[in-house]
Amino acid sequence: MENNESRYNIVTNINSQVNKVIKAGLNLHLSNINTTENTGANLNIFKAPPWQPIYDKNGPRGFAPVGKGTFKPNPNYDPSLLNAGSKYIFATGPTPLWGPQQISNAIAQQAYSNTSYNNQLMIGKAYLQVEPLTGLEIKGTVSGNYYIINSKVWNNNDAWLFSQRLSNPYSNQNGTSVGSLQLRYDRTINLNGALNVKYIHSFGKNNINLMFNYSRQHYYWNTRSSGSSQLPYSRKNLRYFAGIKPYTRGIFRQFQDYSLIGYLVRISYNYGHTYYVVLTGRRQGSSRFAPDHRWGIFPAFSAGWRITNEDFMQNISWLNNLKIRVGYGELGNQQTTAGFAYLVTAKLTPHYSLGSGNGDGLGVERRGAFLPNFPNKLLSWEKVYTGTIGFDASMFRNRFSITVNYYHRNTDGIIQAISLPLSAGIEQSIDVNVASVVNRGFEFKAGYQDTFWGKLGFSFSGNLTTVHNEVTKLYNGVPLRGGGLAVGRPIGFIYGYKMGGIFQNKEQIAQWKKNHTDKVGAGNPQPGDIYFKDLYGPPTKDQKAYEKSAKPDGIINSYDRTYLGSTIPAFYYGFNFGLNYHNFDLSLFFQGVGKVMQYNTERRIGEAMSSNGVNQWAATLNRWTPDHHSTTMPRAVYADPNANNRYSDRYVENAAYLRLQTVQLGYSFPFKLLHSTGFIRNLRIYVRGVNLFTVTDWSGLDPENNVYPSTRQFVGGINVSF
Amino acid sequence: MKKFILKPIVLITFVILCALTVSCKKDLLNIKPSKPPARAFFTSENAFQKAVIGVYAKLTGLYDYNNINWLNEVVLLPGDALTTTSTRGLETFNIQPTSRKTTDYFRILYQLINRANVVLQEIKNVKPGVYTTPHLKDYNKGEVLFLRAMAYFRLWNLYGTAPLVTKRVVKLNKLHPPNSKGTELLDRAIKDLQTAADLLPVSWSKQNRGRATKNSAYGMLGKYLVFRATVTHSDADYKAAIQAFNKIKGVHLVANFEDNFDYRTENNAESLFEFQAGSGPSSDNIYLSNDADFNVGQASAYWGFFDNNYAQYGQALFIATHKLVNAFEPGDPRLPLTVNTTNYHITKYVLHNKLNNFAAGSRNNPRILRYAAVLLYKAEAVLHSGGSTKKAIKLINKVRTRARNMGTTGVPKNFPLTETNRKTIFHWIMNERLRELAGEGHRWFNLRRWALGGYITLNNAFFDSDIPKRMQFKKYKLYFPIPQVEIDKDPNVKQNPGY
Repeated sequence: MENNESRYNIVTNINSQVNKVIKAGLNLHLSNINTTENTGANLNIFKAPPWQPIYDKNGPRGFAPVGKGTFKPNPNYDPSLLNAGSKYIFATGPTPLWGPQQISNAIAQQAYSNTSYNNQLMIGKAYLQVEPLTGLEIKGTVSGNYYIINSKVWNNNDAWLFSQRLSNPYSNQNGTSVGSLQLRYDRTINLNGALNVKYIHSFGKNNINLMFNYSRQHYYWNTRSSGSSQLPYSRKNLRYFAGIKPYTRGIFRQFQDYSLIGYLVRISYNYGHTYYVVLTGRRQGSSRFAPDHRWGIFPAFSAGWRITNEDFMQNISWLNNLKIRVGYGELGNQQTTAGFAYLVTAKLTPHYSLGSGNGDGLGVERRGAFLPNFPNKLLSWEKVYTGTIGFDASMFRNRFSITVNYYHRNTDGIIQAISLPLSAGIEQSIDVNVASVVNRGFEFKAGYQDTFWGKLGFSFSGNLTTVHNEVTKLYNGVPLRGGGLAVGRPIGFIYGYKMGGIFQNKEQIAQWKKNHTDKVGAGNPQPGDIYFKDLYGPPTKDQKAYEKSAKPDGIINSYDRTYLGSTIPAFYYGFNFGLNYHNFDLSLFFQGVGKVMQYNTERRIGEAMSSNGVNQWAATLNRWTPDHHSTTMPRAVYADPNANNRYSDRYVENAAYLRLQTVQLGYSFPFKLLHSTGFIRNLRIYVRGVNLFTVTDWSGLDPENNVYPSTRQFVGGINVSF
Repeated sequence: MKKFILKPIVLITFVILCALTVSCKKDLLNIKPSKPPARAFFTSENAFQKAVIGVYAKLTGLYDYNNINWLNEVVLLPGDALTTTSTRGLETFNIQPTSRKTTDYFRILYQLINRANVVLQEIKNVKPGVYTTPHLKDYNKGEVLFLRAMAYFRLWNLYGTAPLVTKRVVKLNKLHPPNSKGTELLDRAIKDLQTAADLLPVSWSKQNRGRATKNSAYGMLGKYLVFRATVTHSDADYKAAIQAFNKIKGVHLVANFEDNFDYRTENNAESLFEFQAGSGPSSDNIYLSNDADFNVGQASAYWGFFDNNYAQYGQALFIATHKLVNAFEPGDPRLPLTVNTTNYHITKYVLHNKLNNFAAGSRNNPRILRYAAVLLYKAEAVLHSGGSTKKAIKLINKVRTRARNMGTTGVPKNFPLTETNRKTIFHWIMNERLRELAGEGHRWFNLRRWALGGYITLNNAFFDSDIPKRMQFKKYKLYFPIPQVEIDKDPNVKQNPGY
């Protein structure tokens, strides 16, 4: 894989004090980034059968093809037609070389295609600030981001040999093309305007701070793309295309368009930096909701008491600062919906051909339309009500500091895209204020820093946040079973069957079958198959249709699915160590999460032992066989008649981890030495390791992201300032 | 606190700004969507044509390649005509609520119903003057009623108790319909077809060939009435079916049986309704759904499971059972046009096939209702409603005569008109259906209704004597499971018994 990048930045900052009252400024940041990467990376490659090679000395460019075939002219090719057909068709083949189970040679495909990007970023900000009176500041700001992504995706036709599909490379061009090129131009514009008025006034021990803020934002993102499968040359400088029908196409699309308006009034008051009160009022409007549900009002209140400022605390010298805080506030969130959920829009993608007959098998393609979505006119702000209570303290000449917080956050009307019952016939998932969720827990932060023997500096800080997440209400009281949403459970919980064990022999099966029927599998288990637990039964007469009876009914079916764990960690933690001695400095940063379960989808693929086309993990060597009576890994059987791979705790794993996120060792050159050079003010060299090790029970690649694991990095660097 | 007085100018500025915020224009929030809202869309006759085409286009999902997930299997494999070289749940009746294909089939049918319901609602509310072509509004209404009836019919045949949704739903709290009962789905389909038959045109222009006509609606209506009559033993339904069939005009059996499966002879004189398989205007990408993209979304049908297309990727072929091959008399000209007797591969639809640019999707239309099937339904209706046995036998013989005239062997001979044992004649009809229509996706629905009506008994050996041990048929499997996704999201829907 070959990736490279070049980057140019221009940054200007102009700030001008026009006179005593007026101040103005203009900041601009321009950046131009070119990157090229080979594309087509596909981690599915682990599914390839072990006998399928990647490299072949005699193959094209040193890679092993996936198939072979030869071409001949297509007698039905008719360039006078819009749909001319392929100029060449397969004369022999295409024949897969490694059997029907082979997959694409992704490494070879990467060598035949690449994507280059040219990204241009412009960030600008202008402001005018007026201070007509001492303490009164009026500031108007206009700012904008303008972001352009130009991408070119190049695919060489020769790559067909490495594709699982082995499709005719001449199928979509007039027979002379060497590849295809897709161009895309994405433009994002984000415009902001704000007016901020601040008034600070103190008299006696009274300190007052008034703030008013008005802001508006308009964001839009659209894209133009064009592409052609008819390219005459493959050399990079000659990759152009002309508008030849039907091989060249262009598209324009608006992806996102939304605006926000916000008003904020804040009154802060403190008396002698001892008693604090802050009142905030917010009113926000979002274009993402229906006109009747656009606006939300979000008040907040907080108060604090710095006890250490009181007279009676003055004798306690070891305590430098102690402040107790309490707060309650509301906030609105609208980012979880892309907008227009209240509207039904027509989609013009379906098509159907009419008029075939009398020798013509095709007829004429007609364009159709449908309404893919469902109007949720009631969708409105997700409201977050947060109450906090806590304290900050520092002691022993500020060497030790601690912060403790308890928070209780109730998110009402959490917005989630849900898919409706199939019977609704709605073809897209829709955004719904689906549930109320409580998050509560403690936040602890503590730090310690000191210097020993005047030279050895030491610092430590750590944090711990506990989370209890629980759904308290659903939009219509109906749990979306299997959808990870139910009252009393954390959001996104894992729901499935529980594995009982593995049948070791026929007698055991006969015994089990006396009292159990498994309706999920074919109901004919064999030794080596898994038996699942019978936990519940169908709803009793007093229960609602979607509930279930706590009494097992001897039948293993969908009622026996149960809670298998929370995918939200019960706690997050991190800690930092720092040491410095003379000009050396060393820091370590650990980070981790605790008490969390995840479903290991990749392991399910790698240990399913049920289909062709998928290589299996080495752990399956421990599978049940007549000679090896495994109690954890079932037998290998085609098509999985017993449904051993049903969604169950078999693939649920503890995803807690502790990771050494960064280690950094640096050396700063002594000031005296640098001073002698006359032009270097500061020089520091360092080495840094990122993601060096992880302690976890997780069997996959990475407990955080199994498909694209975090990279391990070693970085060396020099910082110089002149 | 008493000492604190705001300086007047600060106060004034603050007040002015507060006032400004209240009066500030809110136009910024009126962002317009980048796709036409429904209200703006349904304002022209042309838009209505697009929406109707959109309902037809949904049929694609039932017949296409669908990214290695062809759903035609759901109606092809259950039954005694086809088998596979491997174990397929749909053949052996190992069908679970989570089975993917029965779930996707269910999904597509309801999507079709919803598309139809949208058009029906918009037609109902259409302003005068939008439709300018005479009768087109009625035709459109008839078309979507016809297509929706087909969806109800399939839901009833596959899942039995699936919910009956007859109106477009636009409120979240109306999304949980209960199971349908008995023949409710079928009843509604019949009612809709009666309306559709009145509304639809006798024929369409050449460019519009393939849209539903009066003949399509009468054919389908008669068929559904026979289905209902079979399970309810209603004479009235059988008689109504005969009446509906009698209203079919200008349709006849084509001379060549093979013309019904040849891409060059689509929408021929025998055809009452077909899925109009096509291809995208610039290409037909078998990995993209019809809805994905107008230019390249697939519009083709897939027959690769009959002739081992490369796109099978090693998946088992659907081949003929011994029962099917043995059902033909030696020399029946239909046999080689149905099955290759050497390797038992199905030849129907793939002898004269036309593949798309991916060399996998086909433009050869699946024939959904053809006149030969109508004749056999009519024979059944006549026979079971106490009509003349001679008349019933004559209808079967029409189908046999066409077959016989294709060859020189004199086979199959006409059944003797002298036969009066209704059971014998009924067996003739059932077996003629197997021979004439095998591999066209009707077998399971017919077996199911005969079993529900008590005419036949289904058991493992009935389906395929080759693999009775692998068959897992039980009576409750006459109702396929309601997909688990539906059960999970619609609390008013109960699973069919047994699952």
